Amino acid sequence: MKNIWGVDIEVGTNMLDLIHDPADRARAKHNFDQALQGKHLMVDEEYGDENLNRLFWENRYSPMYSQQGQIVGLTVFVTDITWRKNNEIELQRSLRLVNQQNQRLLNFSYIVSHNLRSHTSNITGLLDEVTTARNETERQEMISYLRQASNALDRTITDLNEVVAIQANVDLKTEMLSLHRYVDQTIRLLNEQITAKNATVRNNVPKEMLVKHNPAYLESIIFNFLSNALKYSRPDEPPLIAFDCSYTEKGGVLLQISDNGLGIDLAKNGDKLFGMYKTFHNNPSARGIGLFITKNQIEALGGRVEIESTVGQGTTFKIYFA
Amino acid sequence: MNPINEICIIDDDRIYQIVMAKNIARADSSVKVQQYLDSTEALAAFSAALAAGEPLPQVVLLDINMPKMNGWDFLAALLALTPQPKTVIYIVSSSIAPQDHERAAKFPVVRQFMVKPVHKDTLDQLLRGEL
Repeated sequence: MKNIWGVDIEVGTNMLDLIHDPADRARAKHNFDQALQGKHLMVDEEYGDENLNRLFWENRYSPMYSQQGQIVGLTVFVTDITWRKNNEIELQRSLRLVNQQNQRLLNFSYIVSHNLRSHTSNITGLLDEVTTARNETERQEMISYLRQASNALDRTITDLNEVVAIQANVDLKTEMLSLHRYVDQTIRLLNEQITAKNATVRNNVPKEMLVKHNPAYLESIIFNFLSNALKYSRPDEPPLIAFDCSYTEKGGVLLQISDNGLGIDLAKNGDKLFGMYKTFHNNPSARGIGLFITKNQIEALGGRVEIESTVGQGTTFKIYFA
Repeated sequence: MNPINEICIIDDDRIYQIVMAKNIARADSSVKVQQYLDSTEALAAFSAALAAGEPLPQVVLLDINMPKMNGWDFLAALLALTPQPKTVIYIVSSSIAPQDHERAAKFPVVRQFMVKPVHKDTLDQLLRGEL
C-alpha cells in the first residue's frame, strides 16, 4: 500500500482514512462503493506514492460474497502499469510533434509553390511578349521586365533556401547563452539607427538569465525584433524599446520586447503576421521575410513567439524559449 | 454572360499587370482595362462608383496575397458595401493551397479560381463570356 498511497495499513484500519490526497480518497471510495454494490470493474488509475510521484495502476475491484450470497467485502488487485503508461504518453507526444512538423512542412510547400509560381508565370508571360513585340523599344522594355522578374525569382529562392536551412537543421548546435549579453551586443550593433531615431533602448534582462539556443539564431532573433521596433516607430514620438525577461511557471525563459511604436491591427492581420512576404506598413524597405525567418529560428529549437499589439500604442513580442 | 467589354485587374504584382493588360489588348483591343496595384484604391473606386450609381466593372480579376488589404478582405469589404455586387469576380492567384480554393468556393460572387499563369485560351474564353 505504501507504493500506491504512500502509507502502510494495518489490519483493522479503514483504508480510506489513510489516503492523504482528497481527490485520491474520493476516487478510491467511489471504486469501493461500486464493488460493494456488486460490480466488477477494472480501471487504469493514477495515485501518488510517498514521494508524491504520480504512478499508474491497473486496478481490478470485485465484490466478496458470503455463502449466503451477500456482499461482505471487496477485493482489489493492483498492477503497476507506470512504465507502459509513460511510454504511451511519450508516444502521443511524439505523434503530436510529428503532426505539427508535417503541417508546417505542408504549409511551407504551399508557400514555396506560390512564390515560385508567381515569378515563373511572369517570366513565361514576358517571354511571349518579347517574341511578339511590335518594335525594338517594346522588346527592350519587356527584356528589362524579364530581368526584374528573374532577379525577383533569384531572391525568392535565396530566401527559401534560408528557411529550408533552418527547418532542415535537425541537430543544431546549442549552448547556454547570456540573454543580457546578446541584447547588449545587438544594441551596440544598431547604435547608429538608435541614435538617428533618438530612441531609448532598455536592457532589463537580469545578467544571470541563460537560454539554451543556437548563437547565430539568437543573434538574428534579437536583431530582427530590435530593428523592427526601430523601423516601425511612431513619427511623433521618440521610440522607447525595452527588453524584459522572466521565468515562466514551467521553468522556461520568457523574453519580452516591447515598444511604443505604430502597432499592428491583430484582429485584421494576426494570422498573417509571421507569414512569408507579408508587409503591413507600406514601408518601402520592408520585404516581409524577417518575422517569418525569426519565427522559424525560434521554433527550430522548440520555442514559440506571441504578440500583443495596439494600433498607435505599441507592440510586445513574447518569446518563449524551450 | 455577354462578351466582356470592361475588366478590372487588382494585383500588387506590377509585371503580372503589364503582361495581363498586353494579353487582353491583343485578344480584344476594344476591352477597357482598369488596373489597381493597391486593393484599397480599387475598393475606394468601387465605393465611389456605387455611391454615384455607376456600374462596377463587368469582370474583376482579383489576387489574394496583397499587402495592406488582401483579396479576402477586399471581397468582404465589397460585400459590405453591396451584398450582391453586379460584377463577376475571378480569383487569379499563384496559390495551390486547398484552403484558398475552398475559401473562394464559399463566395457566390466568385465565379472561378484561376491559378497563374492565365493561358491565352482561358483568357479568350473569359473575354467571350464563356467562363
